[in-house]
Amino acid sequence: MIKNAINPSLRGGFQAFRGSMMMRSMTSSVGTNNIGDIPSQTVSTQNFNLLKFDSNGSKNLYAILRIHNIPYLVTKGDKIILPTKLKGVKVGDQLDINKVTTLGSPNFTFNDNNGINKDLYNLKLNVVEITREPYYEVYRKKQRCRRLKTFPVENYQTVLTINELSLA
Amino acid sequence: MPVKAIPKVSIARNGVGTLVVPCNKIQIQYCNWGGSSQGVRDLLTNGQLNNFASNNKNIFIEVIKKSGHPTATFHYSNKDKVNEIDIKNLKFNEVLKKINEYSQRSGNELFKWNHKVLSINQSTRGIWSPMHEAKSDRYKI
Repeated sequence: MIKNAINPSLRGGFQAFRGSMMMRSMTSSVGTNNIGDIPSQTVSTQNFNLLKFDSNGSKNLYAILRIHNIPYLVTKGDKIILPTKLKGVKVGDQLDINKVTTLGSPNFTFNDNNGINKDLYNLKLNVVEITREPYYEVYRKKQRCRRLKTFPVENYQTVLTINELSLA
Repeated sequence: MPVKAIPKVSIARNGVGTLVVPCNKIQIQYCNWGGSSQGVRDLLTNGQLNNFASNNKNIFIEVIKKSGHPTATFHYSNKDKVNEIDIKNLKFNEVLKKINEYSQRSGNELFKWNHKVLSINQSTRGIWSPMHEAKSDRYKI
């Protein structure tokens, strides 16, 4: 039953505060995983309250969101650097991301590949900067032509920050 | 012994909480006579710069008449960075494009980040260690 209570985990100091009593009440909801008080590995759950309880008031919380179908694992205050220029977006805009596939706390993950219901979390991104990469040149050689073609490259970058990440 | 709290300085990060647009001032310098300033003069007369100014009310725009090639100087609140660019012999829409682009920057030097996410937070899940797994979950060699 108390499989992991003696587990001196390296997962960070906050784990030391976890009382096994608190977790015991929730074992039934994990149920099918046959896991004791505190799971030794991160457990995928469909019980949102479990995540809420484990995330220490949204302090220990991460989200995996998708922009252009590329996943970004973020916590509050992080910067996302996109290798593109987001269309129709200016510095100072606030973005509302509609595809968050995973919300996770130290011990539990809540996952929906089609996007988690937006009522369950608050996630706000700010557009901080639209800039470019440093200039460089790419050389291409064509067949039967002795000259190299030079292409200037100066791609766009968009920087976003996570303004707010919490569970509703 | 009394328990002491560990002091932790909060780190100012633009865009977390509030966001201040880094570009706060643009100086556009042009010549009333030279041909290389023709685009800037068109931009000033056709009212497109006025539109830009009214759409970006947090940016102070200063127009300076001075002989020589035209320049645009962008002032950023980020470490008081100043970036001066050449806008000579450009059409008015090309000048406007430059102004639009540079006003979206933060004043930092251009750098290609090879990381998708930059974080200064502690990892939520922490560092995984094989030595601290429960015995039943350990990988057996």
